Amino acid sequence: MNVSPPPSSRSPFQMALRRFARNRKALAAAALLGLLAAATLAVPWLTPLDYREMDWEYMGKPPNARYWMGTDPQGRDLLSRVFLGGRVSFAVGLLAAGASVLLGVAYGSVSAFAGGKTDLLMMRFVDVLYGLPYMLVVIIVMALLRSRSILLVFLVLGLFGWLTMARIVRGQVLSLREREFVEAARALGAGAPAILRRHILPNILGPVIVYATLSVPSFILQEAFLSFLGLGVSEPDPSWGKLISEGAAALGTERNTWWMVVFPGAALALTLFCLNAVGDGLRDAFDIQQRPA
Amino acid sequence: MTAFLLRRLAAGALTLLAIATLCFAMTRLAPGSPFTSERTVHPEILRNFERHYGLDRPLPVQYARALWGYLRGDLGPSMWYRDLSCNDIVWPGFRNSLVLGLLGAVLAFLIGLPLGILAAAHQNRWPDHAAMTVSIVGICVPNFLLGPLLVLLFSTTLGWLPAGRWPEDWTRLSELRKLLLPALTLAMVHAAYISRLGRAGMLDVLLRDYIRTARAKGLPERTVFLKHALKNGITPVLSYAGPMIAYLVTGSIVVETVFALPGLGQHFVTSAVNRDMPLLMACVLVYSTVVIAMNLAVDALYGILDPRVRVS
Amino acid sequence: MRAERLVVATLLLAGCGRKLPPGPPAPPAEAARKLLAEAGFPEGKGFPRLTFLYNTADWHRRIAAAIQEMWRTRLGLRVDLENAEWKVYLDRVDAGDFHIARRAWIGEYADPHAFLALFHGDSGANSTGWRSPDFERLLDQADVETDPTRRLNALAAAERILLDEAPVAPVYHYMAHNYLKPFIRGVHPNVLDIHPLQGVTLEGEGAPPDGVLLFNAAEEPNSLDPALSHDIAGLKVLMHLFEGLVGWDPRDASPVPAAAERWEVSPDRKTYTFHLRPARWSNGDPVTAHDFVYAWRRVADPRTLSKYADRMFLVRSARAVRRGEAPPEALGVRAADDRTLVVELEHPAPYFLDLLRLNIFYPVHRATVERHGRDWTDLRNLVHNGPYRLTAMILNDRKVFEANPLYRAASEVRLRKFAFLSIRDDAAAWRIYNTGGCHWLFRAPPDAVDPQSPRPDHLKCPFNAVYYLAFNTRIRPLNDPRVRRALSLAIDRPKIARLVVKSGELPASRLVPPTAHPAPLPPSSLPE
Repeated sequence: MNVSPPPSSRSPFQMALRRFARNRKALAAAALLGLLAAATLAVPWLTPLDYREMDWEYMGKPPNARYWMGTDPQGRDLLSRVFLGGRVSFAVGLLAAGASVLLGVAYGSVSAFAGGKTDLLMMRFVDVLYGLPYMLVVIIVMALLRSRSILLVFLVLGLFGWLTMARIVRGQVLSLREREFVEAARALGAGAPAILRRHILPNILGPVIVYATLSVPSFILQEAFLSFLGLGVSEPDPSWGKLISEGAAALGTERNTWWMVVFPGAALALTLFCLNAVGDGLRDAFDIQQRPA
Repeated sequence: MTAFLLRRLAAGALTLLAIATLCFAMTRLAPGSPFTSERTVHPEILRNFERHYGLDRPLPVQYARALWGYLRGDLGPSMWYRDLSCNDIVWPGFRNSLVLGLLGAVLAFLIGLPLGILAAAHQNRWPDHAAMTVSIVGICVPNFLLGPLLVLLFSTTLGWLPAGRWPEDWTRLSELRKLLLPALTLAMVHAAYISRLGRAGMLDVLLRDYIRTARAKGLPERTVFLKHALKNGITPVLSYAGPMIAYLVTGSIVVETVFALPGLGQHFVTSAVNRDMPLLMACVLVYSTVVIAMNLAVDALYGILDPRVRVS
Repeated sequence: MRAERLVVATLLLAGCGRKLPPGPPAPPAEAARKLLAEAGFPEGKGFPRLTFLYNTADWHRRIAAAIQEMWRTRLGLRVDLENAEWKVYLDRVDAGDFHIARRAWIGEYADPHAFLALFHGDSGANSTGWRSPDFERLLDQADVETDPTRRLNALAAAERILLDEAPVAPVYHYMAHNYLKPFIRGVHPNVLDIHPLQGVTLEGEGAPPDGVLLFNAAEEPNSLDPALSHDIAGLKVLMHLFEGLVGWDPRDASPVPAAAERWEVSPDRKTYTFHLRPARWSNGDPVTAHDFVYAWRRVADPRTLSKYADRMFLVRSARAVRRGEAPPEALGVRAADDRTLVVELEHPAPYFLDLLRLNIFYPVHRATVERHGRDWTDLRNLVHNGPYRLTAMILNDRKVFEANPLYRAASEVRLRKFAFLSIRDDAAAWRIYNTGGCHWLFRAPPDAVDPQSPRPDHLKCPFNAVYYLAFNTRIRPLNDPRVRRALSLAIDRPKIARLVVKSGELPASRLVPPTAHPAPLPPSSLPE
């Protein structure tokens, strides 16, 4: 545990970042994550093979000189599909996490700040949404809107992702609201929005970032789950969840198609691992100052 | 204390009502009817059908009738399974999901807690790294991949356990072990979180003053660890346990599909797919009741342990 | 929709795959391209972006993706794929809310009429919006034609019209697949893929010691009431619990006498007289012709809410009864005496005997239905006349059947006990089959079986079903038959059958599969 004396001129945020930078494991994970994200953007662009093109002579065959990760049962290059699928996963993770942050922070801080009956009502609403089986709602919403766009997937995931964030934010704001510097600001005549903006939000940034990072893996897994049910991205676009569930279905059949499981599975596992490591590092970096004396 | 519990109970009931209403609205909005099939049905027949299930009444009337049924414990007739009522469908499925879910919860604790405690006891040495690596597997391997992998190993290759299907008589231990693979698939991700939470909680507690005092008093490390630190170290695990159990016992569509188990999870999907509205409502209500009940139980537990919570 | 297209394009398609790999040369699609140009879309320019709708399943996804790719590379057309889960998909197809949809039809009888009747204006299953008076005239003519050859020729002529105007594009004809453990004897592949289990025996190595055959029926029937059950899953269960006038020959699924010992057909072929064998219900009561009359009237009665009563429309006045315009007693069926049933048809139909094997024509025990109402199909109440009885029914798990001692031919029932399993997921079923938890599958996951190395446990034969694409002829440009024909011609069917479906399916150049014994098609009236 680092207990270096904080330089007085730096914000707690910057201090946390420095702490994070000293955590080698988390830093390495962050670098790897960046590399993976860059690869998902670059590799499909660089490869001469098209992710949709079906090679009728080489369907469902293992890696060779031309298809480095083999082909799927329809003769499409797995390498391009794995990295393209990574775009979906990263996009889903980031967008859903972003949506949950925006919604959750807004909702939670307003609720905590309003207090009283409004707060009670708002949290009751969160309880109601919590009590709904998420997947059922997804199916119904998908059916209602009759569209299989990937934006819809983000939307629905975000629909549920902000609940826990709202609760966390509310908890944090509630405890901060009673602190001295807020009282002082109020005494000085600052209005609620200003207090929110200048005093509260910077202080809840830590837990928000930590939780957001740690929620990205679960969004990615939720998209994978939707793909397993057939509700994910539509043909011919790939996603890791889709690729893995195709590969998993082939396990136990006589055709040994290990590349269909190993490559997308490894990509997913690596990404989730890095996200968790970064999240842990962030938590360690921010938590130290949040712990009560 | 009673006032506190009663307040929470009332809140839970209101939440359930809101959920039922929301679900009712959603089911009426979704396109498609249970009657859709490959041959268009004559409008007269459709009207008869609607009359039979009360779908021709105004929405508030349908809503009231449904609620009144629920209060009496009648979940309504299924619109898809013409011979069965929702009670006939939901309760056996729930019972199976309960058995499997509890088994999974037990496994999650049996695997996760020792890993977490081991990791904390040997922090930053090899047992810590090994335990955390095992837990990473639980987080990074999605259950629809883990399931078939387990089957490939223990069923297809080794032949120790069956690849699926509900055992004929789960009350006998020899039959119950057939649920080991699905329970393990369910448990892995939670075991991973439990091990991490347990480790973090233990490490946190080990820094506290009273532990230092105990050590200073000369108590052997093992006693310090097991007798003093453990109790408080695993509280984060306990707070995770509530939602985890609620989630596990209400059925997992993935595990039920991969292992062909007749639980509650698949009824969620098939009732939505078949537009079987009463069954859909029934599944949602069971799910929500379990979640709310578990939350209530956790709140009650905290209320008992920490008086400050009751006042908030 | 537009904005999201942009996002998706940026996200996924930006800079993706610049050069096409040198794949195998595609067969020429000259005729298709010419037609498209004639219709006003040379090289596919100006062609609106259509959507191909399919129901969510792996097979359909692959075929749709392959066809999408074929249209792209051979016609220069961009078609979007859209999948919807079953109910929504059916809903949309019904409502005409689609451009191109994947469809399939299983013919209940091995006759071209089973497939062509779909496109008659009166049929409720014609989603294309296409009608042709000439087509319908030929079908109606075939209905009353007594000479079998002339009848089949009329049906072939009708099919020619259908193929020329192309409101549908047949893709392939199905194969029936069954995977059986070697100890199962007495199962014969047939074109309807219906297997009565009475004659099956389990002998040889690996036979289960408890003698219980485990068959994966996959889907749950929606009801055990013969009037209400509306799918093949239900038929497979009910054909073992009940016995209708006509049954299935276990060797080739052809109609054989069952509850009816023999029958006579009137010279105008509109009246059938069935003579029933002596038989008993499972509660000891005799099975009489009145039970059939009661059951059939019940199906036609609109208050019963029987979904597939339209299969009874051959019977005189059935349509009127169904619409509520006539009482159920007006239905063209009556009991001349306890053992004689007389049926009058609206018009002659050689396939009537095949239809009688469907569950809506099974007898029903009146007293039980009247006493228990909706609960009459509970295991403790159910009264039936078939070779088996249900001793356990666990939803989504299994149904256990045991030989019915009161069945009229109980001594001929060789398989004493079997269970239908409800394993829905094909991959899971495959794993369970391969580890011995199940003995018989009728479906395997894609890629499970290598067509290059056939398995000894794989029984296959042509199946009386066709996989086709339906075009919504109400929308531009699909209202132009040239466009439809072009789209159909651009599909490389042998490739799909060989490489995508991979289990011996037959590429379809016509709608009616060879299993339905159609007459040869007359030559097309169009220039080739």
